[in-house]
Amino acid sequence: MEERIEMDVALSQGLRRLPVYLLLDTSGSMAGAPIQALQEGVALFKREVENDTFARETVWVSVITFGKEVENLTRGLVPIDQLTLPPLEAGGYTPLGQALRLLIESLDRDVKKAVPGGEKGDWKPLVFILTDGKPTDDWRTPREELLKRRERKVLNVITVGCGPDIDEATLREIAIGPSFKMDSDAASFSAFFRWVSQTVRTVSKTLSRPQGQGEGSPMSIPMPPDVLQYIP
Amino acid sequence: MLSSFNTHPDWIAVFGALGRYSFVGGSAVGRLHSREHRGREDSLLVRSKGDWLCVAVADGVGNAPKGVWGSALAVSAFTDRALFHLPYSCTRKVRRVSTKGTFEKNSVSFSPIPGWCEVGVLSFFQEGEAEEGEIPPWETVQEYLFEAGEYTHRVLQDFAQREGRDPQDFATTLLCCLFHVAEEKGVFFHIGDGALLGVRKDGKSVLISVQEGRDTGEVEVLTQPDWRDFCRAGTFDFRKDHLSAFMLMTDGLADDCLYGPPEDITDRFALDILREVRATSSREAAARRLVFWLGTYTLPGSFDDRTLVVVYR
Repeated sequence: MEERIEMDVALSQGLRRLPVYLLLDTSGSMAGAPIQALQEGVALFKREVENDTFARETVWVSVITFGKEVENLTRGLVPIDQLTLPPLEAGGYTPLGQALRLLIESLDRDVKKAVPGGEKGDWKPLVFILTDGKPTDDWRTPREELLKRRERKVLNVITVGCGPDIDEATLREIAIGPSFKMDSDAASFSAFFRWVSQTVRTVSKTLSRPQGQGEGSPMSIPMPPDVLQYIP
Repeated sequence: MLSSFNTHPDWIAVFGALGRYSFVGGSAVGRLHSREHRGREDSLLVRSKGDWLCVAVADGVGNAPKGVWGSALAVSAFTDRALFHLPYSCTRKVRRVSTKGTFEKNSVSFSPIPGWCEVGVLSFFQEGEAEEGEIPPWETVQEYLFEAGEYTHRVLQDFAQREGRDPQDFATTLLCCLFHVAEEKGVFFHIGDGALLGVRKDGKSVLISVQEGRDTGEVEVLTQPDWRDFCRAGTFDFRKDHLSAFMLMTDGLADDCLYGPPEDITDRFALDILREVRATSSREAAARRLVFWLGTYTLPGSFDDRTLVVVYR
């Protein structure tokens, strides 16, 4: 009798996720076309990530907005296919500090650490911060905390400043990790979110080789589009 | 004219026996590498010298351009050096153990030069009459392994230099176990992820070596300058620990069997593997089934190359 080739072996039901955080500025200065472009950009991001087999399986997203309110719109991390946003409204100041605190809360609460013999941990979270103005609250303390985590290589953060109200000096001051500057027109937002999607998809492919996300060898990010100007 | 060819196949199976111990293993390309036509970057090698069985598995780091060379060089150089120090130490009549299938046809050299081929099992060397020596103290065997680590690190550096590349282009993890089949004791050397798992007779598994205390997303490699700070070595006693088998694996598989839910996944996994291997009619058939399973099971988020070698009585 021919031997069967298949094997019946129990395997983990856990999933190692790639947490992706989008911190989006919804302050008053984003009113009009920019907020509309932001909304469309998030939808584009969702579509592009969903279309990638590997990213679709691993990417979980959290969206934090900061403007009139500071909110975690997704209430933690959600699978990419469950990402839905209410209509975004622009208003208020730029409470970046509160948004960073909300981010830290979610990182501590929602990102799982690997425990051999226990739960499968998550991959290193990837954070994108998009802002168009100077922060209006205490942002230095939470930024220091995030910088420490980044130095411990447990976090990747990319900061992007957009529009005419943000200068390079401010961007350098608030940046956590690589920082870029761009315009606030619809084409720039679209290019930015397309690049975010590409970055997430690239990282989701290198995360089986975690050094791809480490500091020693730079995070595997695709070349930014022309609309993004790198701030050294 | 065939000017070059891939000598590191997508799937490779190994099997054999030494004394009362059998081994079967396999290494299979992961879904991601397969889709991107990049080939397998894990390597494995089983060798012996007298009563010493030497098993090594390595995982070439995926974002390193030459990770596959790193892992292949690491298992070759490390096992070569580790066994070099050891006396023959054979307590039984020496006999050649066949390595059937494609492996017999492979030739091997320890430099990645044209014609270099990955072999899963190297024929036993020093066959026939050989001078026997006493088994060194286990602490000394551990020192041999550290020295083999130094040697392998240098081999990778030298190779990188010759190729005009950064050593990190050849980044690789390494897990190697030297097991004396008569004494039934083992010594291991481990840097990076992957795992050495023992399976006790009562069905419980025991993690003999696993990377701990690092945040997810970090892995140490043999090519990094401070590798000595991160490598681990230790011993295990097959009889005293009441083991019935031990397994070496790279992270592509370890990630799928060391973490829950369910809570007891590692015990269940280990027992299932042993049951399937033992229930198979021959070691060769078991190795074929194992590599087929490694290359075909699907789990969400599991993309990496998978390598497993099972040593059992």
